[in-house]
Amino acid sequence: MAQYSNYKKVSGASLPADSVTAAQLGTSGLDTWNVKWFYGSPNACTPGCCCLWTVPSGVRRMTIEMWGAGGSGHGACSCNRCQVYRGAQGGYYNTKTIDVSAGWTYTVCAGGVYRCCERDCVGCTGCASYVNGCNLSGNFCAHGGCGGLACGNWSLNCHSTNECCRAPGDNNGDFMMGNHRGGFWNPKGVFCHCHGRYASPTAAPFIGTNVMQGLNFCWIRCGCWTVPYGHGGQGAFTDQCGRCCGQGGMGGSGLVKITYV
Amino acid sequence: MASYESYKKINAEGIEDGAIEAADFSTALNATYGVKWFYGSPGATTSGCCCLWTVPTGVRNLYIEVWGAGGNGNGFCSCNRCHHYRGAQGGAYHSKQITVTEGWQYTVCAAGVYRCCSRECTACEGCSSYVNGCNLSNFCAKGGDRGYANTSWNTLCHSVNGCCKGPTDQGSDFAMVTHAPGWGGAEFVYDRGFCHCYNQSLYASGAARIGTLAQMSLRECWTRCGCWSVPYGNGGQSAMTTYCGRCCGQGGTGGGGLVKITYF
Repeated sequence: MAQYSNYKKVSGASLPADSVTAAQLGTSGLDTWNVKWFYGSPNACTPGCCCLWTVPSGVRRMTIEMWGAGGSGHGACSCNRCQVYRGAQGGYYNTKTIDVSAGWTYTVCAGGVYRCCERDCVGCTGCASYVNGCNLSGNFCAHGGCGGLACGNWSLNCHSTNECCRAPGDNNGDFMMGNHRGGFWNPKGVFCHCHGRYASPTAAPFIGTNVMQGLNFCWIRCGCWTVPYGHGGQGAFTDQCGRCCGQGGMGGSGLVKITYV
Repeated sequence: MASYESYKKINAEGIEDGAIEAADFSTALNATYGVKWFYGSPGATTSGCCCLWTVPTGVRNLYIEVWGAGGNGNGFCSCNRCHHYRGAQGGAYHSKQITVTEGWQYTVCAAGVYRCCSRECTACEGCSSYVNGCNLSNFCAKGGDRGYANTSWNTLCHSVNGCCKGPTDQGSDFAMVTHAPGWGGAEFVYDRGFCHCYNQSLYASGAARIGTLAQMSLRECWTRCGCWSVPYGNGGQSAMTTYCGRCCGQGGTGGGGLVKITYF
C-alpha cells in the first residue's frame, strides 16, 4: 500500500526562485568539481599509467585533455660521414567534453616510454595516450610524437615540418593539434669534422617545455635519459664519424587530465 | 484565479541544512558545464572561424581564452648582400571570466591567416582573435609580430618583447605574449664577398601558453621557402638563402588563431 512518503514529492515548481541557498547543500551538493591527473614515472623507462577510473558521485560532465608521449631521440649511426640531426617531436594534444553519469568507468592510459631504436638513425614514435568509455569513440587518443632523425644526406630539407597531417577534429576530439617536428640544424664542416652542432626536440602543445642540444667538439654524447612530459627525446650527437655507444634518449611520457563537475 | 500550484510554495527554510546532495539535482544543473573551441583550418590560407555563439541554457559564467594568429614569415629581398633573419612571433594570449545569462549572443572570431608580403623583407603581422558581446569591451588577442630579413648585420640580435602588452590590456583578466625571436646568426665568409653566408639558423616562436616552436635552418642553399603550415598561433617560417639574389623565396604564413570558451 502506498505510503504518504511515497507520493508526497516536492516538485521544482514548488520552490520559489532563488530560495535554495548554499546552506541547504550537502557535502557533495555543487562541490563535485575536481581535476584528476594521470601520469607515469618521469623516468626514461615507464609503462605510463593505465587504470580504470570511475566517475564520482554526482558528476555529470567532464573534459578530457591528453598528451601523447614524445618521440624518441635518434642514435649516432653513421661511420663514414658526419650527420645532420633532427629533433624528435612532442606528443599531440587532444581534448573532448562529454556527458557522464556517476559510476560509469573509463579506461585511462597515459602513454609510457621505453628504450627503442636508441642506437638507430631513426628514433621511435612515441606512444599514444587514450581514454575509452561511454560517449567516447574507440579511437579517441592523442598520438605520440615522431622520433628524431640522424642523416648523412646534407641536402635534406632543413626547416622543421608539420610531420603528421592531423586535423583539429581527428580521433573524435573536440580539438586536436600537434607541434612541428624539429628541424635539421646544420653544423660547420663536412664529412668527419662537423663542429658546432645544435638540435631542438619540440614540446607538446599546451605544455610548452624547452629542450636544447649543442655540441662543439666531442666524439660522442648520448641524449639525456629524461625530458619533460610529452617532450621529444634528445638524440645522440657526435661531431666526428663513427658509431660508438651513441644512444638517443627517450621522449617524455604522456599525460591525461580529467576535469569533472 | 489562483491555482493550488501557484501559491503552494515550499519555503526553503523547510529544507534541512546540508540535505541536498549532488545526486538530487536535475541533469541540467551541473551539466551546464562545457568547453567550446573555435578554430579555422590548420592550412596556410584560412579565414579562421567567425560566428555568432549563443550562451546555452542555464549557463551563468564564461571563461574566455583567445590566441591571436602568428605573424607571417618574411621572404628574402636583397640582391647584393646576404641577409640575416628574424623569425615571426607567436600570437598573444588573453583571458577573461564574465557572468552571462542564457540566450545572450557573442560574436566569436578565431583569426585566419593569408599570404601577405610573403616575398618582402618585412612580412605581415598576424590577425587578431576577438570576442564581442555583453560584459566585454575591446576584448581581443593581437596577432604575432612579422618576420624580417635584413642586410644590416649590426641589428639587435637577442629576442625581444616585441609588443608592450600589460596583463590587463584589452579588458582582460590576464594577458601575455611571448618574445619576438632574435636574429639568426650565420657563418659569413669575407674572402668570398658579401654573398656567402652559410649555416643560418633561427626559429619562429609559439603563442603564449601553447608553447610550440618552428625552426629554420640552412647550410648552403639558393632558396628555401617557409613551410606553409605551422601550429596554431605559431609564427610563420621565413624564406632563406645563403647567397644574394631574389628568386621566389616566399615566407610561410603563421598559425591561425584560437578561441576557447569554458562555460558553467
